[in-house]
Amino acid sequence: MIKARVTVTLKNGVLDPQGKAIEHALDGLGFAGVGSVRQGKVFDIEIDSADRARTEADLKAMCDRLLANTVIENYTVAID
Amino acid sequence: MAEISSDLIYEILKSVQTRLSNVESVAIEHSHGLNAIRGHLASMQAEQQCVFDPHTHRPATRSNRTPPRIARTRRTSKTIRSHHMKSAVVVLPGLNRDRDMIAALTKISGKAPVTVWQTDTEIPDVDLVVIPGGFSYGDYLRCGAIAARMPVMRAVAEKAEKGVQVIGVCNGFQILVEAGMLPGALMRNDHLKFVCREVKLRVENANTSFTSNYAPGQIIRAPVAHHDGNYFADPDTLARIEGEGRVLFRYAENTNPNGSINDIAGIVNDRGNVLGLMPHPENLIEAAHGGSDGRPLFESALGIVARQPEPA
Repeated sequence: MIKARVTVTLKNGVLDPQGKAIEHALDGLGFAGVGSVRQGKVFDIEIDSADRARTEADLKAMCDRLLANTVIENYTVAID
Repeated sequence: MAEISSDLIYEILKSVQTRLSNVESVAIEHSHGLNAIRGHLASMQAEQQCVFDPHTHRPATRSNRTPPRIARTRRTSKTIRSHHMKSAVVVLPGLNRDRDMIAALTKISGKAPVTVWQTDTEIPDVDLVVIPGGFSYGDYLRCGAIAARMPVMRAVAEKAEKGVQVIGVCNGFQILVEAGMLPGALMRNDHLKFVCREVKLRVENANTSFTSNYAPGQIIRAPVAHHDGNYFADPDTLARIEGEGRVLFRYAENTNPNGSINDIAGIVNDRGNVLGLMPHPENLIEAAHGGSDGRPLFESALGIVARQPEPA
């Protein structure tokens, strides 16, 4: 069993109104010095396989085809 | 012989009066029933007229409330042509504007569209495929992301490759973008709120199969209802679609409801046969909707010649 974590984040230059709202809320709570907040998604995926290289390729394909919208998002794949 | 007393006469008169008033009330009841039937007939005739002859149909207004004629045996060639235009509506779990879209297409084309389910891998022979609005798959992951990967979308893409016209409205637009059939992405509204109101659109390009019944630069009214209508594209893509006249509708008169880049409300693909737009033209097609500014879009797509403007 391979455990992987996929992180999807917005590309630079793509406006993130939700991140902005969180930024303002943190400011409102009194946390000083919060420069910027960008919101993203995390997927924890378990894959029944022993082939790490193959699994990594599969995970990247999953990101390209579904988990991320590569028009606006970047992704990283980390395998335990 | 019994004595005719005034009491007896009084009783007899009272009974006659009661019976008469009973008869009268029954007569009034029947009269109401007849009126109701007449009303039903009139509305059925109006419906019939609407279905069979979308060109001459005028929704009842103060000036033309006369009952419609029953006999409609002749149809113009124009009408017959519209009867050949067939449409399909894609139905996915979570969509909620499919019924509105089906009603609009039925009224405008004179023929009920076929419905295609998410797992269908083939779409019948049609001239127009419409993906209506709603919240397919609960907007999970990203709006339209799951729907865009359903088998039916492969069939929609095949139709588009053959030149069949495709329209995606609201969630349908999001699905077309997620399926890669239109460029860019639709992001959360800049103010983060769901927006449900009427906006103004400018017809930027009237020289397409979707907008030929509008005048260039025409300002039209359109309802919007969405949470993720904030159109985004990278600078190169944006320059390309703008340069190629592929922005068909732009929010006008400062009514951009979502922060969409360049006020973009609707775009077409490079071939010009796939349209995506956030506003709901299907909800503004007849007087009962409070206007019919959305009607020319479907009439253009269905090849129906523009009607004379309705008297104000």
